Amino acid sequence: MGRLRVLACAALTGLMAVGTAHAEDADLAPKLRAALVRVHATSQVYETAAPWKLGQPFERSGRGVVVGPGQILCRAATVANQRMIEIELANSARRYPGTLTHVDRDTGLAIVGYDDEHLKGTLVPLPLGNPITLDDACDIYQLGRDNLVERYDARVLRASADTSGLELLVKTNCSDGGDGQAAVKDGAFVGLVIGTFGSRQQGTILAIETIRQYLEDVGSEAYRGRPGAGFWTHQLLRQDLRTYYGLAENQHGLGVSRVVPGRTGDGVLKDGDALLAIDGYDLDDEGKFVHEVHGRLGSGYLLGGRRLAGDVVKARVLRDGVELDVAFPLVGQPARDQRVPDAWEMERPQFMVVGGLVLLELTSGSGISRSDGGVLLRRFRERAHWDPPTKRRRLIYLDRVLQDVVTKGFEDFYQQPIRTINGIEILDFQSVPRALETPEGAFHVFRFDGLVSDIAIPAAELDAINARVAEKYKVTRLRYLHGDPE
Amino acid sequence: MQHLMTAIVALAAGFGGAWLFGQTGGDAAGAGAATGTSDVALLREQVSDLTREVGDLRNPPQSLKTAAPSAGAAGGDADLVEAVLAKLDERVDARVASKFDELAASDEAEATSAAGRMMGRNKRRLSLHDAAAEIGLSAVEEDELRRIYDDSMNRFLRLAAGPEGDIEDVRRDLETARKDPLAGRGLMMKYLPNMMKNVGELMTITTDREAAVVKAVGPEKAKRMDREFDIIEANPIGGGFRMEARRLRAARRPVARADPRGAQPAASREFRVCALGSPYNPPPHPGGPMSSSSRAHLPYVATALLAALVVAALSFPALSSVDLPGAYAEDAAPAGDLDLAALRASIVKVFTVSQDENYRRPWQRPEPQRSSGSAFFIGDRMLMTNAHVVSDAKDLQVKRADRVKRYDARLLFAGHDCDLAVITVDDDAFWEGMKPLEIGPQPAMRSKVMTVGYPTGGEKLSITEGVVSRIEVNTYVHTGADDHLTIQTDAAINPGNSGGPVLQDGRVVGVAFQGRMFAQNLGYMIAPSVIEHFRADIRDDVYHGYAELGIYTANLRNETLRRFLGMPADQEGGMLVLKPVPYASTMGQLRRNDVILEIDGQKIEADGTIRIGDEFLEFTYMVERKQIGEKVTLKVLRDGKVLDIEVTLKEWAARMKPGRVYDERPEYLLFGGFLFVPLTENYIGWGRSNDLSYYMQQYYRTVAEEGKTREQLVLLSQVLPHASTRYITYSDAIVDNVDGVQPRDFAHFVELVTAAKTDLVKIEFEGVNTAPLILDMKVVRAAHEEILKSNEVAEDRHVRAPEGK
Repeated sequence: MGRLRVLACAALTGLMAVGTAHAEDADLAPKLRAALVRVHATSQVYETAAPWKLGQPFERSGRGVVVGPGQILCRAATVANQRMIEIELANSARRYPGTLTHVDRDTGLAIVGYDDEHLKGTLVPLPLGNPITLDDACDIYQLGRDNLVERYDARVLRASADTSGLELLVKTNCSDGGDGQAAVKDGAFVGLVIGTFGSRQQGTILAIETIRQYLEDVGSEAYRGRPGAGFWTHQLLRQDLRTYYGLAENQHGLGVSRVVPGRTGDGVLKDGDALLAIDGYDLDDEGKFVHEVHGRLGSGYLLGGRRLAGDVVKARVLRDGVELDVAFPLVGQPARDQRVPDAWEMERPQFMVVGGLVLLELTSGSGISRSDGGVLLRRFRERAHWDPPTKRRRLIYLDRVLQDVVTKGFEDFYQQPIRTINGIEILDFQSVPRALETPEGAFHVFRFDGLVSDIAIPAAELDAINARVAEKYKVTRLRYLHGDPE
Repeated sequence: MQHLMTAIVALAAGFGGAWLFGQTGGDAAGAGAATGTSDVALLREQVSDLTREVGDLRNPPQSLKTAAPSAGAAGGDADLVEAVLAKLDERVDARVASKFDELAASDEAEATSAAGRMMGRNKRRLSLHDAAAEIGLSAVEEDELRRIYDDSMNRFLRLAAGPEGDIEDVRRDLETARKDPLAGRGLMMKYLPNMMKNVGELMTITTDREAAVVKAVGPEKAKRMDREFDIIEANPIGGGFRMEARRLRAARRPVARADPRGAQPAASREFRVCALGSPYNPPPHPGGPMSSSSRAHLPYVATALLAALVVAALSFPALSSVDLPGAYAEDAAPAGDLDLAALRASIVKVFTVSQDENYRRPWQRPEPQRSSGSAFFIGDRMLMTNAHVVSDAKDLQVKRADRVKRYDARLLFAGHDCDLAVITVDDDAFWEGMKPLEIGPQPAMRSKVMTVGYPTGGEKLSITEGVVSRIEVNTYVHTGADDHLTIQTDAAINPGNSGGPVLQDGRVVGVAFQGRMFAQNLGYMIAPSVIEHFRADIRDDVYHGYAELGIYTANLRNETLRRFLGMPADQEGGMLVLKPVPYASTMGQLRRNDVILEIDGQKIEADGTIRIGDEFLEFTYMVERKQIGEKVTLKVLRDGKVLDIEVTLKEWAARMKPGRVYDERPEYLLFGGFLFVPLTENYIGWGRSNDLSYYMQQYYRTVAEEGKTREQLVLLSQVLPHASTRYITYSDAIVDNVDGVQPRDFAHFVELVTAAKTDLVKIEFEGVNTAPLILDMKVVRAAHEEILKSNEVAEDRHVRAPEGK
């Protein structure tokens, strides 16, 4: 029986060894054990429909790579909405405290810091390596089961790039999820694994060029971040559009269809321009260019992926049949409060409860986004972000009515976008308290986009209604807007 | 045969469960949770039962082998599959209703929600990454799920492909089916044999996956994943169910109260209207003709699979029989003083061969479909039935219960807005011995009624008995956009009953026409007042239809709102006008915030009802009793003054019609390789994107507000491949203007494009950054004939001239 058990264990061990750790080079192993960590983040979010309530804490984990003194690089998603961060080391079960020191959701990267003396004495940064490209081999290392360092083979299949940076598709037998493993070549860190596709034996690596740029930006005095796009374009493969943009047979590029005021290209590019080249790279009719190392990449890489906000790019444009050389600065992303938030950003949701009316704002996590398959969200976001005449940068909606004697008859109101309150247009959440300062006669009057009646609440009774509603429905706070105390 | 059908049903269940409905187990889990049943255990039990049944199929008793010699070749037998799918529809209806009822017994709200989950509704379609972020999965968990979904999909594709097949071919076929519902029919035939061989394995794919998901992320998160999300990676082909009712609500004629629940419909209406609708086809006619659902469904494999999913999610063993509660055979003793012989002569079975339209390729027609319903003699050589029994009919036959012969029939009048039609037979022999049924008064609540007709389950006349359980204005699902008086009964109304009379004291007090999917013993009949309205309308040999008051309204139950509107404290009742629309009767006569106090002297209550006898009915009942051209008088409170306003009733005048239409060829223009069509509910029903529903909704909410400048929306449906259209890809792009001119309607658009004098015509579309289409007229015209020829298009357009021109 004992022998049988031994055989079974051996068989199991053999199975588990497939594709996992095997002997590393003697010098590299201790370096990796000192540079690879597991990051645990305990997160907590406010309930979407009742944002005065904090939801159940939950834990997520990912991997990290020590890239500098007191700096662990990991994916932003790993630490999203964290309340507590803990770090585990190789060959150890103990957790040590960490702190989120920087996160860039546009890049998808974050830096976790640590002050613990043991960590300071144990962790050693992995040196940043040189770019890798097509057909280069590298290794993927991660803390696996029992926090043992595991190694997987990888080979670069192709590169792709856009405004989010440079990514490499690799063939690898690593199928343990793309959550921040380290790609290593010649003992140096050459990329962060951000995705694996087990069944295809492929993975995606964020290239060292993009990581290096992020780290340099973090290390600079003022973080600049990725530029945001500023104009809409059309591909010019179609003959009808080529004719429309006036391209000759030997001219290729992208058609500029709309330049957003105040954003990248404003004042330099014009609607109807054709963008022929950027920083000396000729664009093709799909808007791609040939990179000297990585091959054909998207022009978004030139305008954002390899640049920081504030950088100036040079471009050649075709305007009214004449080729012109122009230069323009890359403008940063809109401030976060100027964007319709994504759910994953996990910012504390803004809300107000006014006379029993629960007011929320449109995000990708809002209930209203679920009701119509996201059409409203997409359309509103497009307009809010890209259509400057639109003054409504945030959509505030009445999610539901907490029933009170004054609101009886309105109980069927559900997810109605608010157009005005007391005649004042609601452009964002900050407009709401301002609008409530000036009642319409004796009432606060809410008007909606949809085909529903107005809602009127007696202005003089508002405080009393609020108090009743708060007590009756155990609403612990009646509002949280940006700037309010936590 | 029964075993064979059961097996194929099970087969389809596996097919659907694993394919279109990646979260079958989750749906079952949702239902299980609501009833306290163990989810996995429930599913395992079903698999076990299924396996037994498949075993039976593989080793059928000799008698069965004799009866069903084609059992082994079922996958290639189109008729058999159609029959099975039709049968499946019936059983799904019964099982879903049963399940819902069971849940509702404990908690109606939860039951509604669970039923929604069963149908894949209420789920957001998200990528795994987004869902993982929202639910708080670690990256490891996320990737593990990705692997699990990937593996299960590959297992399914492998089974579908069979040992010799290529799974990439299956993948391509699925994508084709998603885009073209008609292709789904062939697809079913193609893969059925392989599925048949592996039905047990198919079911285990789902259970394996669910178990793996639970193992990977724990039961709590797995449950959330199932309940809240339709994960793209788990269900890559898509096919999440749009809420049919929501879409139809958007297009509902503005004659009643607006829904303050925004885009989300009330759950009860959603289930009643279209429990088994799918984005691939118009919703079935609940309680429609015997094969109405199969008629509507059969070309569309997605719906069959949906039905199959529900079967899978529920319980197989109970599928073996569907009893009709309260039904008894014609040979049994008739209730009351029914003259059975007279009924056998006067109530006939209608056999319909219909052919729908193809809104994707409007120059083509789908396969003809067979269905049946009921009809009854009303005198003057006229048989009354439901419009949905005879809509899009290519061939009609009727059969008396007391004759063997089927007689050719033809349509005289169809009122799709009230789902009534009249047909006739030219053969004099048919009418011999027939006695017309008299239309009676509206039956009283709780009074006994009998439903007579030819429902599914047999060939002979069937009579079921029940009582009137509710009377109210309700939506007629045939168009989905018309509300009329409806009488609810617990007398069984099943597919095939449609068009049959509901009798009381020997007189017709209703025409059976629809049922409720998620409830039992709830059937609906068309009220006598609607029947009489229809009969009065056709007296001049033309059916004109119902008038449209043309206002959106809201209730005035909130006291503060009444005060805000300046209503006197002693003023009771009233209905608030939210918006008059310019295409109907009240145009120019009512304003926003008018309060309608009375209609034709009847006081309107604060919830928008009027009192008729002991019943409170929607105030629009007063309008629907009248014919176009008649008048109603409204007492209106405006700015503190009471006005009497006389409104002449008109029909809906805009070219963009609310609701589905029938017996009409779709309009289109194929110009070069560009297919332009007007936006219609029928087009949306062919599985177009959510965006079109949004545009439709916006049209009724805002565009109509702007006046008559835009009576119809036009869209570029698709671009056919040709050298002249290389790289040009549009799908359902809404046309904004042609060379700066916004088209009023489709005919105007066609004129703008085809009669353009310039070499280049620029068409701009709605949307933030949809590229304009520059038509080089020389190129387009040069390619035109070639494209027509290569696509076998006989006519490049079908355009109706605007009315009055």
